Amino acid sequence: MVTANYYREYSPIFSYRIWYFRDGVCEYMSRLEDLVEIAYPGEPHCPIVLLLDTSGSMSIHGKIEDMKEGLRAFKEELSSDDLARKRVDIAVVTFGEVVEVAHPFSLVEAFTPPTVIAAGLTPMGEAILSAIALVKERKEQYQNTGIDSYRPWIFLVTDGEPTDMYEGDPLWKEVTGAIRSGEENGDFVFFSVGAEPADMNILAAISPPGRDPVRLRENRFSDMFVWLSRSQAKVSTSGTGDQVILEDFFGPTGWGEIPLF
Amino acid sequence: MPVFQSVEYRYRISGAAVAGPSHQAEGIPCEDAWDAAVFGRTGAAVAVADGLGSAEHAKEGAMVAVSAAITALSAFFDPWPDGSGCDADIEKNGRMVRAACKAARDAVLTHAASCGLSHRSFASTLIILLWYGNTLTTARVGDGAVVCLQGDDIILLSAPSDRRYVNEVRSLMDDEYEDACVVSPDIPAVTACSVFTDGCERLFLDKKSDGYHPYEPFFQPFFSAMMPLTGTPEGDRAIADLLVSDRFITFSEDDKTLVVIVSGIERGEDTE
Repeated sequence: MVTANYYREYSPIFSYRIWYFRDGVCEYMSRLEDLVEIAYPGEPHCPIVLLLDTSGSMSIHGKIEDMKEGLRAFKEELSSDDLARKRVDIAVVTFGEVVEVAHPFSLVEAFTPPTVIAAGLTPMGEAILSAIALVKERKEQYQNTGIDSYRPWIFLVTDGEPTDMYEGDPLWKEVTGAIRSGEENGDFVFFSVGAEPADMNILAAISPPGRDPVRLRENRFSDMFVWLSRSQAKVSTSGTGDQVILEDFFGPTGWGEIPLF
Repeated sequence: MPVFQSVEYRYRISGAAVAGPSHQAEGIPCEDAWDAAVFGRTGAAVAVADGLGSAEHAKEGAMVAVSAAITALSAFFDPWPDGSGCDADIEKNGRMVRAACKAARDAVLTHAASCGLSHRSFASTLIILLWYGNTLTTARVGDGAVVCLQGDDIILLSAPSDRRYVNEVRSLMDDEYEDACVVSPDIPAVTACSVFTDGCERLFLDKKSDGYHPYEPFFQPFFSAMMPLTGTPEGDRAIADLLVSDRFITFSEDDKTLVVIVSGIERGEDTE
């Protein structure tokens, strides 16, 4: 307990002053803020897992190159937002030849878009489970270190259909069950985007109820990633009780459309 | 420097609510509200509400809630006709703060109905503090916190809700608001207490794996400095200046409300 005594003084110039005596020595502080220390808390984190298809088909029509450019735009756009760059926590899981965490979670400044190479099949089921596990692990880290967070996003981008699971098989049931229960429990938000020639029916069957997959128009990966970065910027700066309204991407000039089944 | 003895008060209160930088930039007023009252020498109350950003009339809802809560508590201190006491003398603190919480909700519901609007558009959090005699009790719906000085100890009397995500909150307008209403234990021998909204949480509290802890390097000098200032216009101004200081707005974008209530008789000398 500080045993110093404080006294107030009226002043026509300063609205008030706080006189401060300790050990018989007198000095004054003109502002309360000079007397106190604040907790200097860490920023709340806004986690997102980019779940990217890097199967061989992504090399067709330069999609993998467009995706790389989109990732660069994603980082650039987030870096330009003072608050988002301190809060958005990005991880990348790729699935093609293998399923791998191509970039562990990091804040925007430390995020380097990973090198992605198109090769192999489309082990989407395993990749989705990997992303869900990554989110769970990250949330535990937040909990253990006292970091506040926003609800994580898992953002799937593919141009194909899963080759490691088929509707009704055990892995399919495990994956779709994990997505549905994760959404229902508020563990994460799951989005899926299909670039041509993705099977949108399969994506719709995987997606949680009420959140249809979006078809990417004309391989506009950069526009999609810029939208994603702006959405993350909005979420990461939202306050308690705020309702976040995302930018519309369905308009005539938008990057996405909802397929009609 | 002329010296005079401080005026003696049993309870003294100072506070301020300021708009966060993001609201200021958008021309949106502070959506927090607070109200307080001293009930003679027997009790005092503070109510603080944080209007939810998603609620269209959040500020209005917060103002109605705090006003109704204080009015409800003041009724407990109305003297009996024979002058022998008041309801607060026989009622438990916990019941009084719960009743004030319900009165606040009912008032917002009535106000929303009279406006022909959904009560959810007036949603806010609410913290009520009741100091009766030597005992202090709080009720809280949603986030925000209450920190007390008891002897030399800094005590987190009402901790923010253990919410999963930083932008999720319980509101006084939730259907399950009673489940969300957290009433603290009665705590005696407190000399000073601060009530604040979530905009201040990250500045005043240290969050660790085992939960929130009051940040002593803030509260010890803060309470010491505020003892002689509380209850004066300078006290309000000191808090307002603190909340809009560079360090504070750098670390918190939100609206911020901080109210301090002190009890006891000040022996400090004032200068003029």
